[in-house]
Amino acid sequence: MEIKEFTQIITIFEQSSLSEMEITSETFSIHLKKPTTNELKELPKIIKTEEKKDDKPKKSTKTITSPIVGTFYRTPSPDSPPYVEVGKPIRTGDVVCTIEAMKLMNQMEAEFDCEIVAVLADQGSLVEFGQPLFEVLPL
Amino acid sequence: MIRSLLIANRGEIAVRIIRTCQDMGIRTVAVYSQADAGSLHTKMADSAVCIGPHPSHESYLNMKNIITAAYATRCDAIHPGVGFLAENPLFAEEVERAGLIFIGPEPKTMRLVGDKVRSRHSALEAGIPVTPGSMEPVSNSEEGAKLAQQIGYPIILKAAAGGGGRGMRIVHTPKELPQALTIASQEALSFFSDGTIHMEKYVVNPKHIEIQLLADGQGKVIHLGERDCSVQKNHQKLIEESPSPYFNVAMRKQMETDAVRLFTKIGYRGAGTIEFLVKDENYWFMEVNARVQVEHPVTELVSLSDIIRQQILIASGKELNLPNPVPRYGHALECRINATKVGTVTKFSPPLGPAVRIDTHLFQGAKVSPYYDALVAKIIVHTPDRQQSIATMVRALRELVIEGIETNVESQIKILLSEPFQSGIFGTDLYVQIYDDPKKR
Repeated sequence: MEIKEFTQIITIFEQSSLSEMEITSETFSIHLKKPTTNELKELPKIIKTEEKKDDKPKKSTKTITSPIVGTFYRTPSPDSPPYVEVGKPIRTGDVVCTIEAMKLMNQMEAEFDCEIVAVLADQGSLVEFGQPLFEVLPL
Repeated sequence: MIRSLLIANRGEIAVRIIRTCQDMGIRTVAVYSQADAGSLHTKMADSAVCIGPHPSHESYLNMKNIITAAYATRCDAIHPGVGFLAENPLFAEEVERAGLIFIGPEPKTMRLVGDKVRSRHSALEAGIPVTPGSMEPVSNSEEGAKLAQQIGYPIILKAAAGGGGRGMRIVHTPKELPQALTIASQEALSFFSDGTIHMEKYVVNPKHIEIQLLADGQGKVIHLGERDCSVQKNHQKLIEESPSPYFNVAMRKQMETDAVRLFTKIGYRGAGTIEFLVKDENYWFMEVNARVQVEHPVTELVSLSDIIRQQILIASGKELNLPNPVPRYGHALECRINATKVGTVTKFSPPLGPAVRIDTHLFQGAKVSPYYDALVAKIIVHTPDRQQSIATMVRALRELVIEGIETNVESQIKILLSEPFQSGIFGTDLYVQIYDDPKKR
């Protein structure tokens, strides 16, 4: 049983109207349970209390999207460290990634000072025009 | 053999190509601009890649993004469809340089036939009549005036690099000529990045008849008969049919032979069309369309063939395997449905039943944007004869329901029911005749 198949089962369960499900076979056994309606109602309350505690308003993040179609690389060469790391601040003009298109390496630069919150594209994958590459927090 | 194919186009033609690929077991990759996200071709293809924002020059004309998408999705070949990059030799070269197959003629053939002046020379050398006119570009207005006097007014100015009805200008008197030359040249420059103009005799109200050809690039050239595309509005085709209602057998045979001879002579490869102007007992070579054409379904129906399939087979290096001559059956008629007001399609119910084929990218919820061609559907019917085709077409158009956008359906029905169209005796002025004559309104 592969992880992919487990996730498929979970997705099917989540989309179904079932509240509980159990599957047992020779190699595995899985038990899934959804929160009851009462539990669901309580959830928003918890979030609200958390929000009240958080007195610093979070700055909204932005996404850096791909301006071309190409292959996404986080590193300048296969064995070198990535251009940018999550959590590190970067300055305007710093290279954030390269996108290879027709054997040309196009270096993408940051257009504003920011901090990388998340890398949204996979190393070596095809990125489309307009596809989000990084989630960043402007500084 | 081609196993995976990127379609560098959008709309109904992209959908049309994907369908044949599915029939042939070929994996397909669609490309789309941000304005076409969710369009039918992106849903039907095995995968889809966004190649740019809505302006064509940044998306459907963006060679680099298209070729990179094909390369990264491991395609063997690119089909350019109709319009956009279909007749761009530079694109064909770039595709081949990237190690991919371009589904179309060789770049050098595209250059030859894409130049109006050079293609006229080729036609003449192959013994095909061309309209009286300049065999060289018109460089200044004095030379132009002299030439126009020789040919006799009215004359037509055309962009040497042009096509699709753009950059053309009709001149009726010597007085209009100098200014018309300047404007035509400027238009040619802005549309085709080439201000070269040439001059031809303007044939008043001719028939527009074209011959569909297939050539395998290995010496075999066959024709699939003619299409009559005389119903036009501002040089844009509206209704096409095969066979043409107006033709004597001897002239049809002669044109078919001429067309095959020209393609043989220039060593053409792939599907292509030769357009002719026909008036009374004369015909003249007009131009070569080095690609599949929008109106190809009428030929497919009468010849029981699949032109897209043949293009793919030829590009794979296969020899043409069709009977010669290709037998043709009955009569086919196509109506182009164009959007006259864009929006989101709230209801779409295509006509069904015998003898009807629909090529479209519409569905309930489809967005018709103002950025591209207005063509939203092609209704094609195939029956034993022209009279039945017209009746079936009128039935089909009345059955067609498209809500949320406005289309030219009513105007198409009016043309079909008009006396000149029914009689079969009409030329390219038919639309003006019907819509400008108050008696026929």
